[in-house]
Amino acid sequence: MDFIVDGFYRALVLLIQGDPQTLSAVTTTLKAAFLSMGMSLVIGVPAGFCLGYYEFRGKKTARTIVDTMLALPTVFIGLLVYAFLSNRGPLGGLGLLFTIPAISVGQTILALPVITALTASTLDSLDKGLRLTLISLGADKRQLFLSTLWEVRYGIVAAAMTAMGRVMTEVGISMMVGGNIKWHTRTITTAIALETGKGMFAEGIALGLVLLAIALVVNVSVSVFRR
Amino acid sequence: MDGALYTLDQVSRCYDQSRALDRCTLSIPKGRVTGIAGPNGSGKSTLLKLLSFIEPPDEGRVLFEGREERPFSPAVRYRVTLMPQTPFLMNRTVFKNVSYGLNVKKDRTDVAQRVSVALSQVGLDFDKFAGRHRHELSGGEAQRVALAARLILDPEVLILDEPTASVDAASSFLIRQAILAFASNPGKTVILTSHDAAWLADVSDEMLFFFRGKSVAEKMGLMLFGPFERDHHTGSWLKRGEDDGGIPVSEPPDPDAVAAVPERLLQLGGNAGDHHAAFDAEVREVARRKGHSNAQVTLIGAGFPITLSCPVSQTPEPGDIARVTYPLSSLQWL
Repeated sequence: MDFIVDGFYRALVLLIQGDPQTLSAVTTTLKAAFLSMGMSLVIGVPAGFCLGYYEFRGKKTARTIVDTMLALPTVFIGLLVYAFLSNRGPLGGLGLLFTIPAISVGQTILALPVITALTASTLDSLDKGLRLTLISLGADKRQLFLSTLWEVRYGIVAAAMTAMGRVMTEVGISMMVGGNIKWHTRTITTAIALETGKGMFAEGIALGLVLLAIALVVNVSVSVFRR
Repeated sequence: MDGALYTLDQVSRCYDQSRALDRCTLSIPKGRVTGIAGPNGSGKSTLLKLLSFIEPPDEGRVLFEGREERPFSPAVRYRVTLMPQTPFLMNRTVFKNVSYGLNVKKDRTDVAQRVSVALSQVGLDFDKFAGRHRHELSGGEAQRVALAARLILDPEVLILDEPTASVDAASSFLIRQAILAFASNPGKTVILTSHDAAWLADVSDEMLFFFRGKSVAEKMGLMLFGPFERDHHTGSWLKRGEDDGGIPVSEPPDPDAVAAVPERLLQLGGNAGDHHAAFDAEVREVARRKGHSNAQVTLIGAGFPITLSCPVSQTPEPGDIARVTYPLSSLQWL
């Protein structure tokens, strides 16, 4: 039990002193997460809007596929992205393997179904009176889309938060396509896995605390926004 | 009358397998108040959605000032507005809900002043209500905010679907006042439905009657749904009621037809004959209105509701059993 308590103590010391390795992992994690969240929001919100708002043939099938994608294992995504980006793969020429953009691509695949499915659910449960009201007040198609999105803003933020949680805490993708390269592609989660394997609990706990702190800051920001 | 504002030409609208409007042809005048009456499910709300260009028809044409228009058409976007039966307020303050239409039009002049005027038209105090959210409003207040959001647009056509349904008496009064004030402006057209048939008839310059997605010529005072049966002794047809009594009808064209008799042709008193049908009914309600020579009488005959109007001097009292007659030739099969 002592080594856990000791780990927490040394973690605080590392964080207060601004350990460069810890800061590097934090920076890498944030860069990859912001890139992947940006991409998945740009694609996922309109996709979720279409899936939840409109009626079309094959909607149920599309919904089932998206819902199934929610359960995609991170190592399987890592494997697929690795296969595409490796030298023998179709996108090997891009030279992205073991880079932060490669991690982001994998994390986008992880986050996209979450944002799409939750946005669609939010729009699905939206009061049908909204559309009627907006059109009757003179909204054109663009204003109808933007006002509807604004009306479900909290639902979309909740979807983004859930996806962010998945992205920040995944290990499989970062390990497989990032390679866990010190100072370059080592993220918080791959660093925790590595440090724990080496028996360096303090570093592991310190990084875990940083992850929790990031989650706290994001959640507090969202709470302020909702007010 | 300034001529027809709307002309509907063989308009149909379907939802899944049901036909809410069925080859409907009618016209609505400009600058008048047109009331639309009919039982639940008769297609009134669907008609209002088509008239406000929220939805396009599946068949036929909706002409506005002689031109066929569609949803989002610039010619009608800011000129026609609909207030649905259940008001929907957006998840923002009353101020932003009321001024939403002005934002859409990018009309930013004196917004606060105009919101204040619109709220006062429906009896809401700006200082008290402008900052409230929808969950801080009662049903009647929400309905009035929804109406204010339409009035601020100063539309040419105001379409209202049951504007006073499920609101308290005070809100109902204020909503009616606001509608009448709007309608009194020159050139404004109001199209509305209401569960309050007497009020609707009172405020409307024109009336349209709907049944099963079709416009019918006039208000029906008696409606009987099939099946009908033939009396073995007399050979005549009738609609059998709950109490083993029956209402005589002419021979139905098919077993599921609906028989209807115009309200104006139903009479109290008289006897059955070769050309007249008669049956007994219990008087349930008598509505006398100030300044009107006729009273509205509601009866129940063989378990079926009947409404008719008769001179105030001859009105029976609730609980009385009265004989109702109508010319058999006036019975229509819908």
